[in-house]
Amino acid sequence: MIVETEGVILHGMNYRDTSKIVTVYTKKFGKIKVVAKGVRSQKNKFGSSLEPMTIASIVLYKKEHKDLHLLSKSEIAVVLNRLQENQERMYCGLAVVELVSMVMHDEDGNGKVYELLTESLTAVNAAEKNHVNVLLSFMMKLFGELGFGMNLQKCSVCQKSIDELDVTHAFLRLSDGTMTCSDCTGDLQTNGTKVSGGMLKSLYYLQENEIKQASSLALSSNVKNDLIATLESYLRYHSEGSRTLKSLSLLYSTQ
Amino acid sequence: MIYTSETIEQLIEEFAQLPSIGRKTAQRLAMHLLKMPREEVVKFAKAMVDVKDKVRYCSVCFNITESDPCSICSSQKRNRKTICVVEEPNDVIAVEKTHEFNGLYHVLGGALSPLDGIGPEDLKVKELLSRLNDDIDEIILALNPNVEGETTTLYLAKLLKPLSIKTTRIARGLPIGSDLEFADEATLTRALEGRVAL
Ligand SMILES: [Zn+2]
Ligand SMILES: [Zn+2]
Repeated sequence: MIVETEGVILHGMNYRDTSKIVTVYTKKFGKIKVVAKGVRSQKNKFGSSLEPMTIASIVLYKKEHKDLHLLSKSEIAVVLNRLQENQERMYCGLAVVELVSMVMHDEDGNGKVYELLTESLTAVNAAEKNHVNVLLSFMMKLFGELGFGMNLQKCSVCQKSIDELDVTHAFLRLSDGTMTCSDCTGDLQTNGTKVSGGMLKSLYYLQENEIKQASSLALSSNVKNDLIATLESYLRYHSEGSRTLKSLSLLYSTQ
Repeated sequence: MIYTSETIEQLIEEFAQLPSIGRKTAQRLAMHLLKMPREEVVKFAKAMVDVKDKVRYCSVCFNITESDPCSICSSQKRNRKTICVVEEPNDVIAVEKTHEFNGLYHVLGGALSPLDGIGPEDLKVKELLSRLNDDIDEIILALNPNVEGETTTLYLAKLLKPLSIKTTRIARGLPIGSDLEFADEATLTRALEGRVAL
């Protein structure tokens, strides 16, 4: 069956002499694998549209009950020229793609995840600073889509809303993403991971606002690192087989 | 088809393990070998064993070689002030074929690819740094024009910056013989970025 869809290129692997097996997160079918014949030869008809992080319009022969399909056409759909401009953009863009490739299952379409993915790449491309925030915001929203979103709006015990809370710290429970304020728990570590008041409000901001607004939030590098560590352990708790994002380790190894 | 000879069957199995060789091709190759004169087959077999026994990596540039250091690293005719950094030994051959470069090489053994779990520690990056001293004037980054090559270029550029050695990269853009109108946006953008004054 010939089908047309849009997709984000996640990963490519050399195949035979001149081809590649490319993993794409498509709008219609979720994560799929396609063979791109001749993409590494002089006669390559796909241009640069199969490079990771590209948002492409593709046409493929989709075979029922097979997990490898044949790519017949691919073109860049959205031009993201700045993703490779500097290390921070590159590594954050790669981390977004790495995350999707890690947590999404094959051929499990989710239009909302696709939307978040393309919004994130577009935002990393456009942002002038704080590119990592885009990734953090993407993570918060992706958790929600995957059914384990955090519930930070109010304290799970006193029900006081986050806007009224004026606390130095709170506890985030990894198992269900609920938050308990320090007034209700004191300093007891049993309620989950301790997060500072600033971290809590930052997480809430990143979760509630549009992805493209994430980069306008100024975070100190300490808070940023703590947020990354917290979100990564939260992810590990909820998504089997997930590990530390290699693209991010690369970013921090050069700072 | 099942052959009546176990030996042939075994040979087919071995051929079929090679990259880009399917079972059909493996069968053809095995039958061809059967028809070849014995001495030709022995020569062929010896060449395969020799490649394993004699070829190794140069301890300086990590290119493949039979003598260590390799002929390029030990040559006095080469410009020892310039190092061209490439991903694989095949890339050295490609650059050598141009006859345009007379410096030394450094073969990284791949490119950074976080999604494949390939980080700086998996490449000959430390070894590159240890080669850099006051005698080196220029480092040319000649990595593949794809996301992995670009990730590596950005990484190395940042790593080399504090050393204040002139670091350049090879140009990216349109392949010679292609048509401008068929180039995609990403390729054309790189070509525009890399424009030169006339
Ligand atoms: Zn409370
Ligand atoms: Zn050498």
